[in-house]
Amino acid sequence: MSWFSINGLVTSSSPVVITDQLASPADFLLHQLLSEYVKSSPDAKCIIISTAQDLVKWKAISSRSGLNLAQKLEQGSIIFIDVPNQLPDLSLSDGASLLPLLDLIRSCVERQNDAQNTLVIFDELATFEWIGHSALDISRFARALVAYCAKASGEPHPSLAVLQDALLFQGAISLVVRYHIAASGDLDSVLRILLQLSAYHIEVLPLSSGKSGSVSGEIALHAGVALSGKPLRVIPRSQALQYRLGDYHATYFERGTGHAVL
Amino acid sequence: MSTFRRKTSSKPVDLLAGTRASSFSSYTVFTSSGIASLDDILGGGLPLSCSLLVIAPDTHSSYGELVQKYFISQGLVSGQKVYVVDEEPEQFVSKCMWPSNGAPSTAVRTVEDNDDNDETDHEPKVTIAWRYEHLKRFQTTVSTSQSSADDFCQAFDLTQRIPGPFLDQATKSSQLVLLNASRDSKGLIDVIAESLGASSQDVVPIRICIPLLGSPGWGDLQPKDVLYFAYSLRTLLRRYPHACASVSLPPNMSGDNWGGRGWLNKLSWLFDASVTLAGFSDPSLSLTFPSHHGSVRVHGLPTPHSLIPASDRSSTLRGISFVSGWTGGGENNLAFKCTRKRFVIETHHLDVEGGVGERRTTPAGIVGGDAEGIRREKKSERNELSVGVGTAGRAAMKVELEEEGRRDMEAAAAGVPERRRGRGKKVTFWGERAGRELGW
Repeated sequence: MSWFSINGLVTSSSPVVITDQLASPADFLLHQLLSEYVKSSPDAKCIIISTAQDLVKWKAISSRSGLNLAQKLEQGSIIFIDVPNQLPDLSLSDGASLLPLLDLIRSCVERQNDAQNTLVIFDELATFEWIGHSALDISRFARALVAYCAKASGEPHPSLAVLQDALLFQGAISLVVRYHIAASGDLDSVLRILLQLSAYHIEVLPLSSGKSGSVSGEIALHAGVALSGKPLRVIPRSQALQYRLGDYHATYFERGTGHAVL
Repeated sequence: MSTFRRKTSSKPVDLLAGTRASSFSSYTVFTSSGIASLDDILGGGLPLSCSLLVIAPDTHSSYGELVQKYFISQGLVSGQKVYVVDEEPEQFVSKCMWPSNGAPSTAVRTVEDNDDNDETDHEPKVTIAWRYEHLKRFQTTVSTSQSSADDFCQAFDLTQRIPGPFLDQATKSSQLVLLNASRDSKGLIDVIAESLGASSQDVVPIRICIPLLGSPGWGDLQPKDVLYFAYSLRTLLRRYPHACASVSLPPNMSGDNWGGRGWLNKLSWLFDASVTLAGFSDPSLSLTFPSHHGSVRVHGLPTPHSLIPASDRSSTLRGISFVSGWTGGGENNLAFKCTRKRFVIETHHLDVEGGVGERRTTPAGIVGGDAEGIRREKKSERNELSVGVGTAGRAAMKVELEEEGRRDMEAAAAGVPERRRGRGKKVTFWGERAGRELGW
């Protein structure tokens, strides 16, 4: 049985970008990351920014994997930002910038300023482009977010010139950004910029031969442009790790070693 | 200690009218779309707080609107609150279907079932193939519930319309709320939100139906406006989880030529469930599958509280065997047919013997292909003996549609429409035919 854990890949210097497609959504990766991260250390803090799913789904799935999300929310160790509800004005496409969202994220990070490490999960950047924000605005937002996380962690980002101000923060902020791909094979400008900023690019792909009961999709892992040093693990598309979704988690196996075959 | 927690603020689910709980997840509550086979594909029904997108790219049919009418009728019959947003909502709702009087389910089923299932007749005892007696009968679709006491999904009759008095009464009691589509689509969301907020104390599920999102009455919508509307609709449904929505697009907006690359994918991301009903535009397809009118493609299925859609486990139509680690076969192909009395989605198989219309013991007949094109080709190449590839690149075995005189006369006597006369078809090989002509 193979394993796939992005907990180890999430470092403080550069973000991890997860791209997925309609036939192979990457929700399971985010949920797995959350539960692993929270279980890895008792005082782990997390901020989830969600444009798509509401809290009910996060609670439902994490409860099945043994994580009591409601309790963590009350304690303040996990903060959930529901973008459509908390920032409704953001949705107005004409002229509105994503600056309020950045300010909100900054304020949430600073609220947890006694944390050692904070994980920021940004669920879904492509939606902003679909509802009308300009690609320029979104790429500026992405750069600003990455720069903020790097600056707050006190670590120099390989491809951004960051002023080393007085550290606001003791711990490291790890960033994971999810991006939906609408037209496969298309690399739009926002995604290009995201990939330039990222240390790792996790691609969740559907099977090219269509849907199957025993394999839900494949995962490929690429080293991003901004990775400093050797990548911990690389999975090219030709040897993509296959996964099968269960109720609340996924099982991973190498190609050709699925349960149906063995 | 169980980490399983119920939502403390929700009422017991059996109190909600016209809904039923999911057997896999206690959070999910299903409500019927009005079509039993579509409910099966969705995994038991449309979950509350989810939205369904029906894409019908045929410009000359209105399957999308038909599905929306079922949605409205089911909501009205179950006693749920229904919002309809359209250019002329009163006229649209007045054309919705209704259960037929008397015994609704049995009356509807007798005529249609005899169409294709000649061999699966309802004999009580299997005398010849007795070894197979214990196996499940071959079925291509799920049946609507026979008893009228089950109010989850009614058996609607397309020949019946909503009675006028019922409609008036529903509008008066505000069970049915009709909203005119306006150019201000953002304002519309606010109006619905306000109305939902006002009625949030009720335990009645709410259905929002938008038969034609983006028709001319909505103004000149750009793709990003439609996507923004979908985004705000989703936000609305998450805020008021006792509501669900069903939206259909006009045919001209249902493809990448209107919305740009990846248009349908973007929409399907923003809707929880997404289904395309595409009629057979190619005449050869409709000849090959004479009992169906189009194919059904599923792009997305609702997963409100789990990673996998409930449909993967429970759908008989889609046929994914989800016992863990099991065979790993693919899904069934699905097709729909719209008969005089009902609309049904069935599994779509090639018939026995690779495409012939019915099982027989006589020699195989000709399979219909592109009838006119083949006839034309035949005339020009009548004297050729070559068995090579034809001008259109067709395979060496030429097929043609040949009508036997006897069958033609029989069919004419029975008054069967022209298209169905091709029932008894023959396959002859080009070599044979040429041989016959030359007198071999």
